[in-house]
Amino acid sequence: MNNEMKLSFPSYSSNEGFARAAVAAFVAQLDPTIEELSDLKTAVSEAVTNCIVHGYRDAIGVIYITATLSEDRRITVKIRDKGCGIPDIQQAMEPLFSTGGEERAGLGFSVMESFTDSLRVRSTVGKGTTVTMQKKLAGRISGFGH
Amino acid sequence: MGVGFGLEEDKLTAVLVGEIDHHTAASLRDEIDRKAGQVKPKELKLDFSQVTFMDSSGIGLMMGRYRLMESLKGRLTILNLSPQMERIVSLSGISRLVNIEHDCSVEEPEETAPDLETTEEGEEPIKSEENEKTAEEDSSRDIYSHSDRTVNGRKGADAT
Repeated sequence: MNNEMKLSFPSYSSNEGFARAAVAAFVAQLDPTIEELSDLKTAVSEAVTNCIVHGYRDAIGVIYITATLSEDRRITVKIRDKGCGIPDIQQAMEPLFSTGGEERAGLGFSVMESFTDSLRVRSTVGKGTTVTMQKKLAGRISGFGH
Repeated sequence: MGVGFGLEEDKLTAVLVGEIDHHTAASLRDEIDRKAGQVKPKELKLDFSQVTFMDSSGIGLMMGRYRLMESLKGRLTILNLSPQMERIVSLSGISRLVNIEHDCSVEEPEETAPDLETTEEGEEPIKSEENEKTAEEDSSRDIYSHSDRTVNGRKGADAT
């Protein structure tokens, strides 16, 4: 069986810290460096915030996180909402572009891209958005037992 | 999560404590704006040395305070960003608008052996206790100190 965890929670902004901590706690078994863990938490934070600020802008909906750990120390995190969807994904991913109103920097996707190895965004207007990120951790030194 | 304030002549320093994300940024914004509105400083310094996590909401916070200081005809200084935070700042281009500095009011590391390396100007002192913490202990907060140790305290592969 894949080492995969699934998590779902309502899109209250107070859950942003919980989402970061939950993914970090799951990934800890791969013994990431502090920097690698921090990168992942930041990317998760951006994706979850997008669900809250954009996907479910005017309401509360459910955010779904799936994280998978593979034997080659690759982490895949999928963050999904069933909210309003993105009409123009390319435009949404432009740095500094934001439809978010007050004090939103428009950097969420840029940060996700910069802090992970790959980012894929799928979205349908009226149905929702799925963001899939992958990060491969650096190898361990030999002789490390677990 | 909160803000501590220091006032020296016409310079207001806001020391941000804890995590900065979309959720916490709103109350940080309100606290800082309220204080700055009372004091009307010529310079606002945002000190990030006590911030344990920041995502791009921190950039929004900086941008809003930049606009505030512009309206007060003053200036904004960003203090003591960690290397992680500096990566996010460099994605934003905000460094063209504000001063980014480090100062020595960051906590001194605990007393250690006399041959402890002194850090270059601008680097955070590496706090050795933090490096030993496990991921479990820190599942509720980030450690941003630059380290090649793994979360379980072992020496990791080449530091990135």
